Amino acid sequence: MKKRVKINNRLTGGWAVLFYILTAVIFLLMFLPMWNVLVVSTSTALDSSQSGIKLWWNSFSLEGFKYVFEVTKMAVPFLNSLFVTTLGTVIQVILASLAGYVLIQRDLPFRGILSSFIMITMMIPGDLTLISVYQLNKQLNLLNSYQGLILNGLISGFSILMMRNYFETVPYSLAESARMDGAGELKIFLRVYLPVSLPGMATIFFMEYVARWNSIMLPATLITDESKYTLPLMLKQMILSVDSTSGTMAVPDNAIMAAIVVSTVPLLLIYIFAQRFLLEGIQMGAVKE
Amino acid sequence: MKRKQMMKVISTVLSATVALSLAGCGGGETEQKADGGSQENSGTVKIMASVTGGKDDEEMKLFEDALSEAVGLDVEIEKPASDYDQVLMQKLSGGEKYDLIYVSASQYKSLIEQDALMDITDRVKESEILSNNIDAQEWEDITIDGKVFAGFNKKEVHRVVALNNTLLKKAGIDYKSIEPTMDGYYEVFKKLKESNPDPDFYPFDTVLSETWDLQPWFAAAGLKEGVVTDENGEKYAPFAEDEAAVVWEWFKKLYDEGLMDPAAFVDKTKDMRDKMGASSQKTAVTADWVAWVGLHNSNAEAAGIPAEEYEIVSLPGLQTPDGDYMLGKGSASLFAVPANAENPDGAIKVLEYFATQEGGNLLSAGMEGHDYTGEEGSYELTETGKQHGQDHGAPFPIYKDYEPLFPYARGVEEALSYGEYATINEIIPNETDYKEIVGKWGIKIIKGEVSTSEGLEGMRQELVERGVTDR
Amino acid sequence: MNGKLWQKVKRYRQIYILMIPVLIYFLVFSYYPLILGIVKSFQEVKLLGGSQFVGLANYMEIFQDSQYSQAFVNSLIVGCGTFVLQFVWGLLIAVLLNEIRTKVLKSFFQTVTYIPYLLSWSVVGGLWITILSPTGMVNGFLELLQGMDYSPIVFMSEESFARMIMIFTGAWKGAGYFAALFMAAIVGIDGSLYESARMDGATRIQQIFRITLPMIKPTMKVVTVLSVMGVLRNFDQIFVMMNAAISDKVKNLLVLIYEEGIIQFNVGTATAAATIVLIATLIITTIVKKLLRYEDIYD
Repeated sequence: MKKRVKINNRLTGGWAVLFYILTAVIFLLMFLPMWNVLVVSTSTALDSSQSGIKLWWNSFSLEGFKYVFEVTKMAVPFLNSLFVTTLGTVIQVILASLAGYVLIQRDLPFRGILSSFIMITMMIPGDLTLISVYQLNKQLNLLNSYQGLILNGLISGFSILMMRNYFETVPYSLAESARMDGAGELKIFLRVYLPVSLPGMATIFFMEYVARWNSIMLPATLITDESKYTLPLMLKQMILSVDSTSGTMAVPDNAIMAAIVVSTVPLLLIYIFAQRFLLEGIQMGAVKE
Repeated sequence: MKRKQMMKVISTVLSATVALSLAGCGGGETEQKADGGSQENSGTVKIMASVTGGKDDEEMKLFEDALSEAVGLDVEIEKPASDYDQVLMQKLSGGEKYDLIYVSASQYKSLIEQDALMDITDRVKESEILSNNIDAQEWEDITIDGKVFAGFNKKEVHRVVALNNTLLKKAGIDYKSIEPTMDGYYEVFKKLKESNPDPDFYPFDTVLSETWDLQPWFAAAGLKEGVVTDENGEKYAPFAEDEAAVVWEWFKKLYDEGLMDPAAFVDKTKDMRDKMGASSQKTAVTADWVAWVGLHNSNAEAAGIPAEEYEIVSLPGLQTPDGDYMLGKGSASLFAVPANAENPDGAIKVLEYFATQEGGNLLSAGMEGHDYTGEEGSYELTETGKQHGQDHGAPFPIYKDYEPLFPYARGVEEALSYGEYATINEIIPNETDYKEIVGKWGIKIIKGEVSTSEGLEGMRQELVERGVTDR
Repeated sequence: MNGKLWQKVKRYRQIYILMIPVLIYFLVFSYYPLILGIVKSFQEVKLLGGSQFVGLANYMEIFQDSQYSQAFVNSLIVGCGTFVLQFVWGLLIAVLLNEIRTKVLKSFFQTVTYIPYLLSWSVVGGLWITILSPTGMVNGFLELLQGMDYSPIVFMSEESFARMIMIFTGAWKGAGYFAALFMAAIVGIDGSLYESARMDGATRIQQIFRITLPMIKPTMKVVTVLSVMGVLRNFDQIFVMMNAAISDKVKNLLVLIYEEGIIQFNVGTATAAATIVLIATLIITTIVKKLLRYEDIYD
């Protein structure tokens, strides 16, 4: 631990005041929604339908959570989401690291073409090619299947480019010297690059996890079988408005908010986990040379 | 490639033969349960539905079984979780075949323009049930160029003026004696506002951002909501005509004097209903579906609030210059038969069943033994049935003499009684554009950003530009 | 062919193998649907088959429709505005985070700022609409400042506020996400750099400007390029928060395509517009990459 130098590593004077104010403002601004959602989710159905923002309880009640599990039967979609998201994201991180590693090879022929090939996939307005995506999945027999949910969106250009970015911070000479020693590419990748890039991988893992967990258009395209629903599908169905027809039954607000709370908890847990990993600062980006 | 094609041909022929032979040995035995293979049934009907059916996986199976048994066919219902419009489009263009698809009136029109629906006019005429059990007016409403392409999911009810009777009483007003004119309601709003100490209380609320039902108010000028075709065959929007100015100015007066909720510019219907609900009571007069009059009351009841402390009642709105009323009726929600349906006859059977007392029971109350139990005359809703709110696709079934199994919620009977004044709007494919344009200019007029005549001019112009109207 | 090149390719064959699964995936799941879509954009698509090639008719329809050009402008303004604000905000959070010394506080603060990103737009949009409503918090605050005769502003119906609101809420939702990306880079900075700066007597604020910010410049560039690719792809936010009063100012390309294409089953028009979005994104990204000299670092 470097307790040695204590001078000058803190903000002082006016800067410190500004720091506190800014931190407080941003904190309040961003804390609000979470709090409101939490309060509404633990209110009674009638209270939760009151107009306006609710920052404190009139009456505390867990009936919203009860509704979510008993009436809308959230457990199955929850487990489905957990399964396909976890498996899909793990595969994603592995493949993205491999591809990211390829892209940092300095004089690899066709490197530019490869990166453009990946970059373009990030610009395709995904929601609008869904008709074709549906046809593809029908041809591959992936409709209403876990395989379909995992395969679609298995790799994103984003994670590849981010992995490449993290690998870039590793001095090239390290790999070169390993290569001199006759190590194979896979070995160099595993021994030299991976350990150094763990914080990066954790970040990518989490971000892709969130994206996949919340993804709605793809599952909506692929899944009509209720036993394979994912959480966002169910959430959307709950929020779905009944404006356009003379339909009746609406899900109470406290149940909707409870469903949101339940669906956010796994992300929070993973985030807190990934964050510990990040902030306890395995300061590996900076390599001892 | 060749081999693959051969295989395709062979398998098509094979499956066709199997299907035919199955259909052959099917026939009259409608009593059989549709369990597993169900060779007894005379074919399959594939339905793509949005709201119709069970509320979850298990219940959907029960629903399919009940329907299969009733019509003597294997009924399969597919129900996308969300984004129904988009999924429907993907499935149809992806080559999926259905015998019935759930569509809104606006989509119905778009699909007909694409030749995607099957003309079932003759089948409907031949069917006694379809012709006799459903009002002729209903069929007329969905007849396009003399042809019919769909049957009904449910009876569309209308929207009424909903009023908070408790607050009215507090202001010393008997709702039955409200004078149905702009001035009459203006006085009511004023009294309501004066008798309510809450600064955030606005007696009148609506949803202008979506041009939510304004029909009961524009009745004062005798104008019809939506798009209307004139004698020259040209489409126009009555609310954008100069005759509409008086009503827009009335809204402006309400806004200027703090009688109309300014949030009406931005709120969604959900917000409006929340404000009308027992827990908020931030407004007292809105236009809403018949069903919501009942829902507000039954929600309050469920929370233990007695009728003396919260009651919603209904009225038919303002009187037209001829002394009549005008209310908006929900545009049809339909089950259309796609042009490539494999079993249109089966589809007709399902539509027929929906138009009977038993079919109506299934679509509203739900499955006997699951949603409700007991003997005829003394049925009782189960816990599940209560949660499902007697809505399995059609809270009000299409059968014209339908007798509900359970009494309607408080206030619904009264609201239903105004049905005679209600008419549907002309079906147009770009309804969203209409709502957006009328709402936008309407808000400008009410806020006073443009003069009424300028605003109406702008409204008309943009409606024409976007292809909603012709003049 | 060039023998030397071939030699190189051969030398790297192990490397290429690592890439194969990714290439196959993209070919099947990204490029194939894309090409199918582009083909459709030249057709008048009938849902149940019988589509006909109509050449550029779908494209012409879009170019002649002033709604699309307005939507393009809206997409650009709101998209770029959101990006800039989100970037600054995210950076600010990351820097502030780095100054918090208590581990628990730090973790808590980061989690809180990240949560908006975890929630969907239907939640966040609805929330801000309520906050900005006539009886909402913002008006309540202004009333406190101005006293009794204050008349509430219906923010969401004012054209002059519309884009600002979209930019603000968009940045609000995404700032924590950018902050996380920046944080990952900041924790990677070599601690000895700070130490030697301290030896030279640099104050903390000088260290932030001289070390922290310059050191994460590569990450900033990556973040910029990645976000630029998404600038035209914002659908959910506008779809949830738009209303008739402000639609002229905020309705963007994707929402318009949804309304004109999906709702009315115009597959041809929708795919043509989508193709235009793709091409426009390509052009914008190329320009931004050139401006940032992005290629210098990576390609």
